[in-house]
Amino acid sequence: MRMELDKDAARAEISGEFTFADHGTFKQMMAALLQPKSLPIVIDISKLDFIDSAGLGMLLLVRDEASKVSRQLILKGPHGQVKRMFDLTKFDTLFSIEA
Amino acid sequence: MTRAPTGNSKCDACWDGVSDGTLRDALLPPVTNCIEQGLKESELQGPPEEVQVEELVLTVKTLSAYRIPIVKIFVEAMAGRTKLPQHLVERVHTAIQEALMNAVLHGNLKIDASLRSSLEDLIKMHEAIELRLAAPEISSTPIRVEARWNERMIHVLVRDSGDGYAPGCAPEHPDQKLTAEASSGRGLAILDTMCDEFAVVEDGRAAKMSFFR
Repeated sequence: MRMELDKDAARAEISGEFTFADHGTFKQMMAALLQPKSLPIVIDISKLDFIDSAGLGMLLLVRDEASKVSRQLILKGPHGQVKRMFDLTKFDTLFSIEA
Repeated sequence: MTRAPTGNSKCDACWDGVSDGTLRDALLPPVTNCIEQGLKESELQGPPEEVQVEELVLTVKTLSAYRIPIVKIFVEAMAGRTKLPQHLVERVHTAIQEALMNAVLHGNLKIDASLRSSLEDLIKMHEAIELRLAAPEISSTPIRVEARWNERMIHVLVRDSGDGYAPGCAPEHPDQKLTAEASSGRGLAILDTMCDEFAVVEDGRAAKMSFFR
């Protein structure tokens, strides 16, 4: 997975594949996104091509951590395999998802 | 050297373990069996069967299976040989990825499956993974992905070197697992959904997946 962060805006763009091997990158992303205290967290996944169950689980952990500090998490632009995995797991009922 | 046909029917090519690019090269046709440098065919129980159908077999170290997107490259190599439609490529890719994750984390690295339920647990799990990958006797244990196909079916076996576990053929309530809010526990349910047939075999050391073409 590749990641671009805008810490001040609590925004990240991830691309490529988000899988079980991305725990390290995920930790960095979490730390950066949780720094601003009031903004909603936005993760742009419009360039993400593939996700596995570990990637889905890590997105749920972001949601849980954001919820602990009363912040919203928005996932932007799922498509292809990622969109189909979201549909399969009914992620639309668990997240705010924007096209 | 990334690609070295040997003339030996059980090892057509060697992969140097360096990068995505060298693995792509090593899997180029007409290779049917690729093994990472430093591994021996005999290190995994149950060597590939001598079969008449078309096949592609890749054996890599645990470290490589963790660091390099081997499933993506393996499925690309398969797709090039089988002319699969994109929707089936996606299902096969998703299923093998889940099986490989189980083989790496719970098979060879022996990571506790419950260690993903919170951020703290995930951090502990990441530390445990890095610690185990730093031990050569663990990081060099093999994982094998075997794909065989004919005009009707594709069969894929992902085999690890772990201790295995009491196998069940499929999760009992896959729909509930798929849509649960828990951050872990979806893998087998996704695997079961993606495959036309799925079973855990060889005393829990291998996942067997089948797909109709």
